[in-house]
Amino acid sequence: MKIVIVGAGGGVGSVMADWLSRQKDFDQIVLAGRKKDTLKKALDNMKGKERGKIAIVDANNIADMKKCFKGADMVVNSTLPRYFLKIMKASLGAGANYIDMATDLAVINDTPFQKVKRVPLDLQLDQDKQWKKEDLAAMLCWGVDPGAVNVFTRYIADGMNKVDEIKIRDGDKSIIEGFDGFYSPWSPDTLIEEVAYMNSLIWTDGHWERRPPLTVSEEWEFPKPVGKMKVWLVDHEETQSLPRFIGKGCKEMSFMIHLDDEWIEVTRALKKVGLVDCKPVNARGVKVVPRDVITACMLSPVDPKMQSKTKGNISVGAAVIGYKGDKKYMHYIWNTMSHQQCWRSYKATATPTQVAIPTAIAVTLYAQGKIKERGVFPPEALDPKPIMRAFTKYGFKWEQMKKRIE
Amino acid sequence: MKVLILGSGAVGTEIGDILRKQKEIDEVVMADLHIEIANKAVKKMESPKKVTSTAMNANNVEDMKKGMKGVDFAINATLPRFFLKIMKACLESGTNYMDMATDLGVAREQKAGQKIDTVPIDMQLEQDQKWKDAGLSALLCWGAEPGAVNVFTRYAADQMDSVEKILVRDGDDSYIEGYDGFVSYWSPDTLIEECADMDALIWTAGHFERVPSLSKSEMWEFPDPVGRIKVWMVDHEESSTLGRFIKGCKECNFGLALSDEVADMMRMMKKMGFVSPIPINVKGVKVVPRDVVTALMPSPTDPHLMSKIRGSGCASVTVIGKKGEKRYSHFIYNIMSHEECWEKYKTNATAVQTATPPAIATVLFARGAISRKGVYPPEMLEPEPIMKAFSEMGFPWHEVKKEIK
Repeated sequence: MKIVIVGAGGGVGSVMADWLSRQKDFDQIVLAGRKKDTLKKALDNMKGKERGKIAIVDANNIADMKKCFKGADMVVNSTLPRYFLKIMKASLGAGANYIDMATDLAVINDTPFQKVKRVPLDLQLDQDKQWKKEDLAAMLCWGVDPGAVNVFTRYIADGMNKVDEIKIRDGDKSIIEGFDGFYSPWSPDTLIEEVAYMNSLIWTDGHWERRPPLTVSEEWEFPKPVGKMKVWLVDHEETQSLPRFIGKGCKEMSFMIHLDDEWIEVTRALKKVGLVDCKPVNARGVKVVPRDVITACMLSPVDPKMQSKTKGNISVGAAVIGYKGDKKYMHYIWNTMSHQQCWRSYKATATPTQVAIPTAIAVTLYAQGKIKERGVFPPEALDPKPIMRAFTKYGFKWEQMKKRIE
Repeated sequence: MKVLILGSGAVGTEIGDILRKQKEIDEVVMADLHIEIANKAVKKMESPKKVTSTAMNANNVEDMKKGMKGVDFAINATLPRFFLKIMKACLESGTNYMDMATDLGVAREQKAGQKIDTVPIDMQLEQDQKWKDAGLSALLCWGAEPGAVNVFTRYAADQMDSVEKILVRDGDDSYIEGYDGFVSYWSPDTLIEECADMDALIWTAGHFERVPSLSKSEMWEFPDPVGRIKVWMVDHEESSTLGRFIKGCKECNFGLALSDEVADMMRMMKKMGFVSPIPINVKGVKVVPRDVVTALMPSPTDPHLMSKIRGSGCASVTVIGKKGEKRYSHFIYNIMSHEECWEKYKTNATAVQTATPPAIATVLFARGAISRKGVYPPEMLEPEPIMKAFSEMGFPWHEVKKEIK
């Protein structure tokens, strides 16, 4: 099977390339992207480097991508969300299956506190028939959150006859030794978009609404060693798909992530000044997108100096509250990864590793013929049991806790 | 007298508007890099007789020299980074010069904890002999702060045998109705430079030092309606002249009122690299991070915001020293209401406060009441006639002098 990873020079793409190159299911892994030097680094980092190949491609150019995707069985989209629709189009045109790890949250930003009818993911889900007609699969929102947590949620929900509430919780408790600046462990552009720019989507009372950024928070008890931390409602993909695909009467759903207090202040300040905007401004004769300046001022998430010094753990999981018969339960499933261990295994922190591995497992299951669905669908549309088994088999550990609620 | 005003921003426009009404001034030329900005300044003035506009590049000495033909007095209301070039053009074209600030940013490499031998204004002051030889005057730092407060300080110091401390304090209790964004009442570039980018210069124990930016604050009692508010030590011109030129003074520093929120925001932006004037590479394009921030901030001339400022600005100095055996604290200030300034001048109090003293000094120069040659700050002049002119010409001041222990 031949795979093309678009954006393979980024943090997630390079871990994925390395991971896939360790499996026997793939004959050729094409590392595609804009910058040769980062692709070269990713290639050098692959265990099965002999099956890797570099291709320079512009994710903004559909014709260019179509050429590159010809003959590929699957395209893994590891770029920024704003290129997604173009990459899907090129994949469909080239007859290649498709998988991604996010969606373009920024295409729709409704006013807070009003009923929301349509969400960004719909732009992809709407293409379901087209993909079915071509007998191709577009697997949306893999990764860990969204991704593995969607599978966790479905797995839990399958054991309940009624679901009340779905809580996706993401907690990274880590420090970077000897560093006091600002560092985003994943794309700074995406971080700013989902944390500061977008009104956050929430599913409440059986429908979608939005809340202004950084206005809703709570304390969340993450499993050890992470422990109790403050989490914030941010705009995220899970909220767009889980409540409707899970159904079972789900009334409430929220995605919350831990952000440290200083980051919150920084983000608020940047937003106040307008630096999170993506509309170009004229800075003494130079046209520049303010958000690009933030990204330029920040270290790259793949900076090895930062990654190697990151210490701590991330816990990402789904807690579902619902009924089995008359009894009310909270069933919580999570994955915890250690930054240091990931650094030793993949030369990357837990953040990209946690995103790359579930995706790579899904690609592997597809290669092995264990995912047979066609069309456009999120992870929770699949039978969760074989996937949960594959998670365990391929080293993406999950743990669970179930307790009665009176 | 023919006056050229370089830079037609909020302050330049206001100076022009005051000067055109004076009988001593025959002609005012409003200049700006962008002719439309200079035109806008002229248009803002009611019946702008005597006023014309021109395009002028403050980065180009030859261009300016041409424009200075026949000009008696050039007022520099541009950004500090152009100062030396404008002075050069003036000196070479035989034009007297005045400014309202100095280029603080040239000392960017001076950090807290280092020994400091020279300060930015020295680059101007050391030209003193050249200007004297040419029979010209360069009047430095004539706004409100620096400017009027320097005159206040000299006025208070002249009543003492020895001076211990000079504490310049800028208070402002205002807010903008219906606006919650980041705004500056003066050049956003200068605000960011003096508060966030530069470590603050202070005169202490009789020598210069710097303290880390936004690290020192205190509560300060301003007169009503401003009242008690927090001021932060920031980098400012007064600390570079008053301490050394006023007899025996050991301490001089400058405190600016900033809300905790704005102070936090600036600290954060500094940490991220956004206050830096050094270009960085943004997707293949060279961009100065600070230029992006200032491009996003509203202009201090924006009428939608300036008309909605509620509150007052207070420019003040407290001079502590001895006369005979007695120790005094002499507090002198000017206070202006933003609403009143908007009503009268269609600009904010900060611009009026900064524009009025240089306009008054220009008139005094035209009358021959300021005749000293060379390069010097306001405190070098005899303060009494200037204080009198302040009262008569629209820059009222008040004083509280009390004996202290």
